[in-house]
Amino acid sequence: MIRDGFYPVSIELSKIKKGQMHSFDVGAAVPVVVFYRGSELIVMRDFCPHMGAPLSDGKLSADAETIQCPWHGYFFSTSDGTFQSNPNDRIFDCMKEKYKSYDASKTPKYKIQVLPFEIIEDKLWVLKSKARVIDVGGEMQEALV
Amino acid sequence: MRHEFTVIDELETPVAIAVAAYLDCEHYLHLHGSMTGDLDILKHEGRQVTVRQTWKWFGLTLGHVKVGEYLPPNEFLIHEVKPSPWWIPSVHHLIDIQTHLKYFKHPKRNTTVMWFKVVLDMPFWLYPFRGFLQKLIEKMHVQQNVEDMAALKYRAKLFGYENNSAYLAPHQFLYHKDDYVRCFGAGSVLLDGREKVEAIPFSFLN
Repeated sequence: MIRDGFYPVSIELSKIKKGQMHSFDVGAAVPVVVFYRGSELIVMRDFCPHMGAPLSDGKLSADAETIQCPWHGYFFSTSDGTFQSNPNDRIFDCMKEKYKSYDASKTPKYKIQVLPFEIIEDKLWVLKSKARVIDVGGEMQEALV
Repeated sequence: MRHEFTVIDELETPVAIAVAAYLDCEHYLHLHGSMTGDLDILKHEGRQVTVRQTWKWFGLTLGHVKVGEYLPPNEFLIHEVKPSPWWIPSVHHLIDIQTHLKYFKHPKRNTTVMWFKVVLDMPFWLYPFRGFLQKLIEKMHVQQNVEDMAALKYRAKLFGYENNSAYLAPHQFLYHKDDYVRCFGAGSVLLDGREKVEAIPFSFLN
């Protein structure tokens, strides 16, 4: 069954285990990563905005507040998808001021797209909206989950 | 006694991306996390960076110190590889290892030919094991290449085959970034034709 406004492939809720990240293709070649943060379900594009790594190969922090990219280790917030920190800074900070082409004052504006969704019966449907979870999905999750 | 070998392979990525991936120091701890537990920068002078690369082994931290050198636009040397801490039993006490990596533009395709030469200088009694040592180094090199190429192919599908803009961004750190930007950035000297990444001689290709 295809629902208007949703990606065509739904996700069975029984496949989502707490403490784990799961990657699904919801159709239209859109991979998403799904996980629990506490009792709240989070759906994000399975795509690091830095270089495109599949985030589902990365690490979820114990409290699921951050997700870490598998290629460069960058941390992103799971609540709004924003870039949080670069763990490599502690290693390379001592070199950075030597390069004119590197600007330490520029903070990456990377943001993972957090996707709104609806749960209908035992299936999760991801909305095609480009809205982020903090704008739209957050309310929908509270209302629907 | 000296043992030399060369590995030649074709990488399905342009030279500008292959060079960026090599200089992209932040990925070594994560994408290649199985080979590197931690890195320390010990010295940085000109185009030479001395690093300590360590990993955990049964609770011990083992590793080595090495000097990596960039010869822009497309060559990389590694030399002065020493065990760290100095007292650990290590092959580096006995064998001097030097590597020379060069990325050539493929003469027919927009890909990169990787030319990787390794020179091992060892005592005569280790010489019979040169084949084993060669395989060990080749295996590590192949593993790193496989991981890099999987990532680069994945990235190319999303951002474009020749798109190196992420590496050029002001907030992106690379080893020797000024040299990279000069050689491969917008309006770079390579694009102006003043400095070129040479094509590999046909004799190197199978």
